[in-house]
Amino acid sequence: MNEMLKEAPSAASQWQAFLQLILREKNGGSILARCRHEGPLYVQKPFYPEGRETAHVYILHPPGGIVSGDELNIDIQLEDKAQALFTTPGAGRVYRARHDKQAQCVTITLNAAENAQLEWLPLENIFYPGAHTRMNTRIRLHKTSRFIGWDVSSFGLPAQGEKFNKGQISQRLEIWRDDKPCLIEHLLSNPENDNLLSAKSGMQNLPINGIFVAGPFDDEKQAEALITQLRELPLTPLETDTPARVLLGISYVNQFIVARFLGECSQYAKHVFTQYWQTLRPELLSRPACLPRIWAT
Amino acid sequence: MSDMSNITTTNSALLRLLQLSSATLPVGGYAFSQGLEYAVEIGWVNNAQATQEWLHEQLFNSLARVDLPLIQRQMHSLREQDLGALNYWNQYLLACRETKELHLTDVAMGEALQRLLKQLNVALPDNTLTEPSFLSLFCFAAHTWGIDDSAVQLGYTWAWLENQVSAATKLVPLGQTQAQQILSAMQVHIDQAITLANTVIDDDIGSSMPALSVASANHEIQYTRLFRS
Repeated sequence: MNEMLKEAPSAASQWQAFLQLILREKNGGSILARCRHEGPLYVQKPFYPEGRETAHVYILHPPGGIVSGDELNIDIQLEDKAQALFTTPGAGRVYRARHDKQAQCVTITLNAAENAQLEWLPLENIFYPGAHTRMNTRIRLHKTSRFIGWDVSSFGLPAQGEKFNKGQISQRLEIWRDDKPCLIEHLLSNPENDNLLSAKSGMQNLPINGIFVAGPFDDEKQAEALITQLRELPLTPLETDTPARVLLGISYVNQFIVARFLGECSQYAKHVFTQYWQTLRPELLSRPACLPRIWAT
Repeated sequence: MSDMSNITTTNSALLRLLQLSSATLPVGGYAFSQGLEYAVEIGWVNNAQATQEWLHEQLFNSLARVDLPLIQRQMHSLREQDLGALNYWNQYLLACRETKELHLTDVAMGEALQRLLKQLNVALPDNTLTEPSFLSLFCFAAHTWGIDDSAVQLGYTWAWLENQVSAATKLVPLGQTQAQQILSAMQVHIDQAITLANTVIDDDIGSSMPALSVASANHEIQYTRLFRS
């Protein structure tokens, strides 16, 4: 009996949280038609700072981080012609795993139906040293739907000088269009066993890794012109300490503009990606960028 | 260790494997550095040691997790004559190519191999694949010539390695002996990479090498370039 108790996971410290949202176009507006949730993961009423066509939705996870055995599942469906921008009020922390190394899992599924417009602009993930996580993001687009999104991850806590020197990260991003794979990225790092974080072809000891994706742009000439514009953006430094090292690369892959950031400061990654978003949004979604209010707080 | 003694390749198939994996295969492989030209330009790769590390990291993070598992799937699709699967994994491979130029490397070499295979009377019927990759056509030729899966993985890896070392020889630059030393040192790891590749499940196929992607993206606008990627 005592043995059984020892092995039982401590249920109180684990969360299986679930959030399902359906956004629907109704009389020219985008409404939250369905919201189901379990555990500490939910949304407030959408905001409409740029009119009723586009809902701004904040995904809230009050614990602010996940521990071993936690599972967060987010499932979002944009129905025909719905338009929605999603963000989070805080960073997504993945704390050091418990001794049993049970994985900390986040699964995000985003679907955009015909002529829907989906923007996925969360704040950064922070992987604490010793975190053991699996994060899967799968985006499924209809041929006519559009997407802009980013993902920024901090490996360790650079501001505190804490390196991500142990743990395991498996981070997968998939973009599908009309059931065809367009972009598959799967970062796998286990610093005890591999050199990805330090390798010259890997992360070169830069703790912040980010990817930005926008598209589809079916006109290659237009995409290339926009990429040139992004490359030439005068990326104004932040007021605080400008990070010493930043690697940026932008390319056009399977109709998507894909930008990559490696650097030392997640604020700066967000700053750069926000400028890319501001440049591309009018072209792709025919709307000027409208910063989510929560970013200003 | 994967059991290489299980390779049952016949003499004629082995000769075909050598032909297919040779640097003289006229598919333009010499024109693609796959990001290495930029990495040398910016000083990330500046000697034999750094070259070997660059290749080692790619062998385990990219080939072992994308190309080699997909060879397994393509050989299986060909045996089963499953054109749907062949197309699916072909698209999957191209979706794993991080930049325009890495995508181009596969597609341009694929087109060249398709043209060549036509001349050798073993071409995949036109329009079988929407955008035939080098990897899929390499598998098709290997399948036609009766080369078994492990041998295809070995041959493909060798062709990649020799091509990269040849690019490094021009770019870093390396001496001929240094190039042979890298080939010797890298060979030891190929078996291990294939063993790893054969454990990768469908949902885990994919890789991410952030700085390599940055190098390849920035090569697009590099001022002077010898290579197409």
